[in-house]
This record gives sequence, structure tokens and C-alpha cells, in this order.
Amino acid sequence: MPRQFIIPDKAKCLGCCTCLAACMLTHREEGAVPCPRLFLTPTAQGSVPLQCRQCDQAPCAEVCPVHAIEVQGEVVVLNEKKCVGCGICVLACPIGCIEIQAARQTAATGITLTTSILLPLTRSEQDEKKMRKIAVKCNMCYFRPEGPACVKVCPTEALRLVDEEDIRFWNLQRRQAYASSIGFQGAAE
Amino acid sequence: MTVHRVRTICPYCGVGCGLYLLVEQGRIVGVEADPEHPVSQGGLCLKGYYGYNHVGDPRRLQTPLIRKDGMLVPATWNEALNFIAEHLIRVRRQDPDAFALIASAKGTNEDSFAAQKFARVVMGTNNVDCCARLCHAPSVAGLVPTLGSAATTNTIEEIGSVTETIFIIGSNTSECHPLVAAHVIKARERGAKLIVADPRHTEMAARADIWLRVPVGGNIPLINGIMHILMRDGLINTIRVNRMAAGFDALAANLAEWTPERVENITGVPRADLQAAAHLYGKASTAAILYAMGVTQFANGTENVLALANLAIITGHLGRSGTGLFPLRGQNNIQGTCDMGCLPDFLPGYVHVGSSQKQTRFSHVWSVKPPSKPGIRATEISEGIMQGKIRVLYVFGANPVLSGPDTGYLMKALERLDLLIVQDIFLTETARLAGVVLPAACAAEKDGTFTNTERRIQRVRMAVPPPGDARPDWRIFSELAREMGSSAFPYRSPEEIWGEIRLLIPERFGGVAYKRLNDGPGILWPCPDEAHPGTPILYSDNVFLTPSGKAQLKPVPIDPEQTSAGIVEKPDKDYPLVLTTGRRVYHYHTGTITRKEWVLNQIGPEELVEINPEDGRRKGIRNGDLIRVCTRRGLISARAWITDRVPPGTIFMTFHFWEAPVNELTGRAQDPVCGIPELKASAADIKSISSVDARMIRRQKKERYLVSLEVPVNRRNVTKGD
Ligand code: SF4
Repeated sequence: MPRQFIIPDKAKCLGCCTCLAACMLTHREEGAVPCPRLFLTPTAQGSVPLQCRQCDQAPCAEVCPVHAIEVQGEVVVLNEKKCVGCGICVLACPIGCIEIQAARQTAATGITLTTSILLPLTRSEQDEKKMRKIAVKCNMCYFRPEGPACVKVCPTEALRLVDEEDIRFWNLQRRQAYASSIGFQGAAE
Repeated sequence: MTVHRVRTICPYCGVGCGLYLLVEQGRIVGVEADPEHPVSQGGLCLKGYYGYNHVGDPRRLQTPLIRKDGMLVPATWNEALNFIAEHLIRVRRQDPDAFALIASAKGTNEDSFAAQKFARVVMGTNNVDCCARLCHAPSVAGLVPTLGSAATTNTIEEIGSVTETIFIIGSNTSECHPLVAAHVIKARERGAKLIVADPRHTEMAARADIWLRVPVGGNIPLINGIMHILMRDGLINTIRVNRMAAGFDALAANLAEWTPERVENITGVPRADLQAAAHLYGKASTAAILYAMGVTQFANGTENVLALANLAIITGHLGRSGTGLFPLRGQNNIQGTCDMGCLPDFLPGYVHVGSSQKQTRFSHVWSVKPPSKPGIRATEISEGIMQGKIRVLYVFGANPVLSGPDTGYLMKALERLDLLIVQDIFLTETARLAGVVLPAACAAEKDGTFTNTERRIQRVRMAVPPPGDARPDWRIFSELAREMGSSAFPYRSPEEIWGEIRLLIPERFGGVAYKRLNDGPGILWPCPDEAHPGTPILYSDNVFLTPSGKAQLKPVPIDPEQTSAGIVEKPDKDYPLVLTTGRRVYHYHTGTITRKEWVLNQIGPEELVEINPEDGRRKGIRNGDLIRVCTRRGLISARAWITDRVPPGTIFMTFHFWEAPVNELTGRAQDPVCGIPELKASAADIKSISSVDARMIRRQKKERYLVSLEVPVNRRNVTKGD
């Protein structure tokens, strides 16, 4: 299946969290755990939001004991209702882009978070005990006809939607550049 | 169901991004970015996109409240205005200068104009000030004498499209002015160079070509050092400088001693980096300086600004596209509020209150001569109350209890007032102490204009009606004036107020008609007549707005013996750390609005004190530990964030949270020239504490700020007003 995923452009990200907010709200409206599926990761060159690459042989899907994670079409989707919060997917993910979140069910508003998601360190142990643990990961807003919300709101267009076509195109370009570097100049007719 | 789109301006920061409010059945249901806006160009930050739910929040103030038997109880407008008028008439009769007004920088230009006119014409005092006192007062004090105006010289768009070297100093641009930072990123993409001078490893510092980790308070040595290098290496065109500016010889003499070695000794910034930065800025054909609170909020804030002005003048990076000085304004309309004369020494249009010949036009239009004695500054008010000089304080759209320095002292002072009047959209920490509270309309509920940080006057539009009996601020001032027997407020609409402003200050606003603003992308003042397109670039052809038309260079000498950064309260044995303050991208100022936005509060639910790993190790504090931060003035509890963002010896906090009100810790040391407090540096100590202690401290804060009072209006006993 052709895959789609989102990559950040390090040079463009401001670390402004607008993508995180969009992600939270979009999933909240969808009735999913209202926390961001992008992980703002600090580095020496600035923060960068990272998210699921929608792997073809998704290790998370392979290890999930209750089959809550499935490859559906182009997206690796996690069924939050089925998730038991065991955390094995977190261990399996090669890029660290699934996280166990603690969510609380309240009558009035559905699921709400009571902990910081930007910095998990603000979470209090007591709160955690009362909450249900659910794994969350990027699902490309598959339910949203306009596509992923984060890509849409980023003020610097630092998030980019990549599909197989893009990959083929870049690959070809690089091959041509390589070819010319070893003496084969000019594109084919 | 039909959704209409109302074109307006973001109510948060001074960038002034353009957006559409989506309104359905009298409620805002979403926000869309305005792709045609000249600054934001279809982008917004998370506050712009998602910070609209406060408009319909059930905690909004809906009726006036009057304190009776210690309780704030709902009242009608008639009762409230009567009560205030009676009080103010008495004060006016006895001593008009016993009244002071703190004006909002979040209201419209029309609101601000009405506020200062109320103080000057109805009360007869110049005791009116705004939060510029806490942010860009040094820019006014530093740039008016040197260049002639404190405003940003060029447009933000030029940074993205023209500037070759961008020098950011004392500004956490990506968090505090995200859409300005977006232009910086755009510039970098086309190859522009970025220099950042900041003690903290901010997102911008991380992306800089050269990051100068100047210590808190080390700006003057740094800037003087850069100028020294430029002089030494022959990168200054002295003939040109002398043609456009006065005072070069004195400056050159002062700079001689600022060798890179000396700067390195004082600031720890490696001389090679300093030299590289100097050359990048000095050799560029176009270079711009962006600065903010990391320059101004010091007891030598004015001198910091003077040093930057000197740098821009001698390198000639002024008056052309892509150059200039950008004092980045924090509040959506702080530029406008200053333009409108919410300053104790300036009438609208920066006419000095003492200048008798220019004052005549005000006397003429207002039929009253405005007082000529400069009024009290916002930062002097608590002192003024303590001395019995100020007896009634009118706070309009501001929350000094959390935003001003040394909260403890201010709160003690507020208790001594005869009457505290607060006009706001929520029952803020300040409003909870008031004698009378007046409910105001917020930006989405009124018409008017905002002026963004680049002097762009933009139209703000009403999308939804105000809740309950809340009213636009200009209307409240007008009605109060009428109640007090004044006929100077005949306005029926903001446009009529704007008409008066145009009449009073034609050289800046004469050509800025509402009908031009309605259709276009806003107009940058000065714009003297309706055929004038506005002025994107100040000082073109190197003609300055000073009396002589030349720029004035003012050397910034500091004590030659000085061996460390210039801050008032230096760290010592008991308080070994420097506490510096600021804000984060997902909250805004005292959090009155953003803490009520679900998504913003989820991203940033509590205060995090940035602590360097070295200090953390020394103090036995780990990431996420609860800690106590104390200074000579008080103590607060919060969580530790162990991070390299801050250098060893420095900790960082924000002023967003009443739970950890950092301004209980900051001091009242002030800049003698303009009165800005040194919010960026206090000597502090930190200690790990138990969760029991933390909870106790939190409970104390809750009681102190009367947090429990702010309950949704539907749970309050509300009686409908007139
Ligand atoms: S950058 Fe400022 S003006 Fe623009 S959307 Fe964000 S808060 Fe609003």
C-alpha cells in the first residue's frame, strides 16, 4: 500500500506548539484521547515535533496483544477502545512516537486530560492512579477530509506531508545527481 | 446553519495577525487565518487559532459589581456609575492628582483615547499610564531623543524578504512574537544570517548562525564591544555618520575602552564570536535589530536601548528597506495606547504635556486646557498610595497584582486606597480587591482600531454581542464622564472618537479614515492625508524626527571598574542565583484569558522553573521536583525543569500563573530615566520541598489571590441591570 506520513523541516520549526494544539483539539472533537500525537522534542538545534511514520511492517501493530493497532489503508490506526494500555507498542516503536497517556473519563466532557502533555513531568502520581492508560499515536487525522490538522495550521509550513510519489521523485532526482557526478550528464529523453 | 466570517485582528500579541472569526448563532465557533494579511500571510500561532473560547466563557463579568459589607455584589450600571461619579467628583474637588488611571494596552485606540481624555479632561490630571511602563518605556526614553520616535522603523515583512543579517537581542521571538519569528525563518531560507544574543538557549538561539550567550544584564558591554570592533576594523563610514548624526566623537571616545577582551572578561562571550557577529551585522548591506524585554526590563533599560540606537545609527542600518530597529511590542495595542497618550508625560501623538504651543490644539478641541504637570508613572503608584498622594485608582484592562513588580507591596498599597475601580472582562486578581468592578466588552465584541508593533493601524470588528450588561470601554468612559457633568464625550461610535484623534494629530493620523481601513490591509502611520499611502519606513533619506533632523548619538559609559553584568540586585551568598522572567508561547501575560482556554491550559498547566543541570545537581533538585523559589521579597512553589536552556547561575520563570506568582519575587529597582522595574533580574534561591509544603504554599496563594471568587456567572446571584 502506498504510505503517507509527515516529516518536520528542522530549519523551519519555531517550536510554537501550534501543531500540538491543533492535534489535541481535532482528536478531542473526534472523541479520541485529547492529547497531541506529535512529540515536541528538544535538541541542541531547537525543538522539533516528531510523529509516527506509519510504517509498512508496523512493529507496534505486530506486538499489540489485543490487536488494537491495525494497518488500515495508508495509516496505522490505534483503536483506543480496544487499547489496554500495556505499553508494549511503546517499546516496539523504533522512533519513540507512541506514548502512553493517562486520560480520565468525566461525565460532562468525555475524556479529559488532567496532566500536562507538553512536559510529562508535571504529572502527579496520585492523578495517574485514577486514570485510564491509553496509547496514543499519530493517525494522520484519517477521519478528517481536509487531511492532517497539524500540517494545515503550522505557521511556517514546517510540517510536510510525504507520500510515495514524493519519495519516488526525490529518489529519482538523487539518482540523477549521482549519475551526473560520475560522468553521465543530462536527463534522458 | 449559516456561519459568517468576521475579518478582524488577533487580540493577543503585538504582531497583530489577521484572522476571521467564524460566528454561528451569536457564538464564535472557530478561527481562520487571513491569507491576505501583510504580516501573518495566512499563518497564526496557537493563541490566534484557538484562544477564542474566553469570549463566551461563563466566568465573564456581566454586570457591574459593588462592594457591600466586604462582598462584591451585582449592581446596575446606574448604581455603579452614580457611585463612582460621586466619589470622583469629591476627589476632583479636593485634589485631582489623587486620582490615577492605569490604561489597558488590550483595548482599542478609541478606548485608550477615551481613557486618557477622561483622566485629563474630566479629572484634570495627567496621572494616566499604561503597561508600556513595564515593557517599552525605555524605548520611548531611548529612541525619542536619538531618532525622534520609539516606534518600529520598518515593516515585519521586510525581515522575511529583504534583510541580510538579523540581530535578535533580548527577545524570545519564536515564543513571544511567533509570526515575526516566522519571517526570520523565511529570511534564513533565502540565506540571511541570524545573530541571537540571549542568556537563554531559546528556539531562535538554537537556530542562529551565531549565538552570543550574554549573561543577564550584560547587554551594554556586548553592544559597545560590537561597536568597538566595527570602529577598529574600519567598518564605519565616519563621513556618512557625521552627516546624519551628531555626537560621533564623544561616542568614539567612549568606545575606545570597550575592547573585545574586556567584553569577554565581563560577559564571558568569546571574543571570536563577538567579532564574527560584529562583522556579520556591520558588513551586511541590510541589517535589522529585533529587541524586546531582555533589553528593556532593566534598571539601565534606557541605556541598553541607547546603545542599540547607537549601533544602528553608526552602521547606517536605518531608513532603508530591510534595515531598522524593531522594538517588538508585547500587547496587541500597546503601540496604539502609547500613541493615544496613555502616558503621564505625553498627550496623544507624543505632544509633551509641558509644551504650551502644541497644547493649544488640545485646548481648542477639548475646550479645556489639559494639565501641564507630568503625572505619576504606573510603577510609582504603590509608593504614591503609601504616601497618601493617590487615593483613587482606576485600573482599566490590566492586572497589576500579577504583572507589576513586588506584588506584596502593591497589594498592601491597594488596601489603603479609598476606592479601587477595575474595569475588565474577567474578575482578575486585581478586580477581586476592587470597590467597584465594571464589566467590559472584549476585542471580539467591539469595533475600533488596533495599532500593531510595526505602526500598522488595523480595523477590529465586532463579531458577537458582549455578554449580559458588559459594555465597550470607550462607552463606559463616556457614560461616566456624562454622569460627572462633562459634555466632552458626545461619542456615539468609535469612528467618531477616531475622527477627533485625526483632528488632533493630523500629522500622524490625518489620512487614516475608517473607510480606508475597512477595505485595506491597514495603514502605517504617519499618514497625514487621505491621499498618503502611509509610511512603511521611517527616517528614509536619513531625515530623523529629532528637532535638528539629525540622529543623536549618546555614548553609554558605565563604570570602568565594572567587572560583571550590570544588574541592581546581584546574587550573593544567601541568594546565589539570578532569577529572570518572561513568558511562554502557549500563555499570555497574567493568564487571565489563556488560562481559561482548555487547549492552551492543557499544554501549559503549571509553572516550570528552568534550572541549569549544574545548579540542579548542586541543590539536589531533579527534573519535576517541587521546589521553593525565594527572594528577599517572598517565596513561591513550583516544579523544576532541569534544562540547558538557562545558563548555570540563572533560573527562569514566567508570570502566567497565580499559583506561582513570580512578581511576588521581583523587586522594585527602577530605571531612573523612565521608571521601568528590573523584572529581568532578582537575586534568588531555590530548594527542593515536599509535596505537603508545596500544597500549603499553594493554598496560601489561593487565599491571597481570592481565587475562589472567580466563579461562573450562572452560579452567581445576578440581577439584570438597567
Ligand atoms: S503571533 Fe501574536 S498576533 Fe499572531 S496569532 Fe500569535 S498571538 Fe496572535
